[in-house]
Amino acid sequence: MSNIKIPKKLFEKEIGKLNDKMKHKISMFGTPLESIEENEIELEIFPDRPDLLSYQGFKRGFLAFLGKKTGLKQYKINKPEKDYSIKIDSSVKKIWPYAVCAIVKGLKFDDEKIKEVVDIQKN
Amino acid sequence: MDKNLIESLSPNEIKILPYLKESIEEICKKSNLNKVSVIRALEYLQNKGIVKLTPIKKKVVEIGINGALYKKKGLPERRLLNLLGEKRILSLQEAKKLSKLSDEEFKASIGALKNKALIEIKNGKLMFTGQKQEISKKSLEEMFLESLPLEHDSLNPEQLYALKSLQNRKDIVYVLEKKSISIEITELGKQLMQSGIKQKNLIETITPDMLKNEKFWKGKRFRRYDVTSPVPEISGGKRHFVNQALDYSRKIWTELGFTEMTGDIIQSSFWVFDALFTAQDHPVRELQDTFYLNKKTKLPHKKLVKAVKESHEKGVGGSKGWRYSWDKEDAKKLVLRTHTTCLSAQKLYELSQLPKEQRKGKFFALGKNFRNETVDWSHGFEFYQTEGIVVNENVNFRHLLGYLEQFYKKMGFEKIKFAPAYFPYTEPSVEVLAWHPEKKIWLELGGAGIFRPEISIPLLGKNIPILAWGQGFDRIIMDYYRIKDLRELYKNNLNQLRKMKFWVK
Repeated sequence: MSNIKIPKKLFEKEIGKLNDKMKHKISMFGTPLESIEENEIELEIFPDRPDLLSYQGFKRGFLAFLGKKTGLKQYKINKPEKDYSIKIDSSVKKIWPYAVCAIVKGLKFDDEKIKEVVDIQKN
Repeated sequence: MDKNLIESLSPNEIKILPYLKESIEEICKKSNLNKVSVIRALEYLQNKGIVKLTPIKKKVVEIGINGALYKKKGLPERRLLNLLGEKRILSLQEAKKLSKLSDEEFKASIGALKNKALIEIKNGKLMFTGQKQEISKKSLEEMFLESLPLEHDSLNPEQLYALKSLQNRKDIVYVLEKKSISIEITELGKQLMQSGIKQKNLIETITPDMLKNEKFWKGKRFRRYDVTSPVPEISGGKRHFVNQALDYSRKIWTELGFTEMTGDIIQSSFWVFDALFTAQDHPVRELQDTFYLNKKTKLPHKKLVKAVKESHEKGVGGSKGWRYSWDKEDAKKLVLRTHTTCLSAQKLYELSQLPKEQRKGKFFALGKNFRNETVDWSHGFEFYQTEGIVVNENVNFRHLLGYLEQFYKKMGFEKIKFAPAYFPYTEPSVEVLAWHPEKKIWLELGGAGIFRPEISIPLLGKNIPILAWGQGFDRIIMDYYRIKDLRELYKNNLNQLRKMKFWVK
């Protein structure tokens, strides 16, 4: 079973006030609210929804569920300015048969974001 | 003096009456009764207001096994001292050999004598350096040992010193806490003792023979019994409280028109995992989650095995399957069932063998399951599950919610809600939550859903909606009986079983 932790402030700023109605909506989204701490809320993510394993993914899905931001999210994709290559040791092939890469620009990579990326990998 | 009181005294009470001023040990000796009888008689006397008993705790110093031996043979240091008094100087080896002491005793003796400045060790030799008259003098330890047993509170400083030095050594003395009773004779008791009672020919018990002939009882006097005095508690036989709860839930399902499914606790991996589309490399099949038996069993009918294999390898009903090579040897392994859903799987296959119009019904199971969990207050390796399936072409998700709501309402939960969830055997899946009015929280009661086609097609031969649930039962039982620790459910403690209330809903 995988759980994710979301900073309470961030949730209230970007999604909405965490009142009883919101708590009910969270569990009806299929992400049971495990606990609410002073600064953090913890949600359980079922294994059929790996896309919810980070706050960004949860926000995208949950805002659509609330009817606030529906439809497929459009990401602007450009061809790389030059040819990049990644080197993967052949010994990895057995346990990690595929690798996909993207270069994300204009993202402020602070502690919170790093934590999110680590969370996805962990789960 | 009240005649009724005198006639109510039992023979043992009368026997000990003259000795009430003595200690319990003395009363035993003089009345020729054992301690249990004396204490019981004292309690009866207390109930009648003749004595007042107060329990007291006493610390007593008693002689240990080695202590008793040393009392007879002399303490090791005494034996060494006597030897040295005679020989004056001895090498360590000689001293040890001649004194016939063990290593441990020898070392302790040297320490003890050195402390008293009676000997010295020089160049591997033992020398007596004390005054000659010291040899014949008894040491504090020796005097103490001879005077045992003693009450700890009455020890003088010298005895306390001796106790401390002997306590450090093995099994010479030990301090025990002894429980004893102090007897205080009441005014009534004093009168009674002075009056010097003699009871003559009181009949103690009535036997059938006595009743047959009136000459045995007519005009005779009987001992009076106090019918208000407390009697031992007798516990009636009753069903185990867990079974009472199970019976109740069995009754609910039966009332709702369900038929019970039963089956073995030991099952093949085929029924527990493969038939339910659990991939063979899924972590739940590993040893740290499931108890395996060191045996394999036969697989069911070839046709069914083939259908399950296909469901795993290629998928059925629009599924892509797990896309691996399914190993039938893995499916033969015997396990302790980890859920009762294996019974539902077997029921579905059984239905598939019937004529088409009979392939429907409502079934439930209640049973124990086993998982390899670290046991603590909220986890056990065994647990109960209440399981159910509804097989009918015309049922849908709303019926599922209806059955579950009915069941839990009858179980005593007023407010039920459903939340979306994910479970491996079902799609869609739902979690049942019940409002706990005292704790003011929503309790998670368990999972339900509609079987995936990867399960229903191989087993039943057709993809129709099969409503299914398999929900933990222990939490409900714990809540009802107000048990905080899950382990209490299965430990069969007789005291607990006797005190447990009946299941009434």
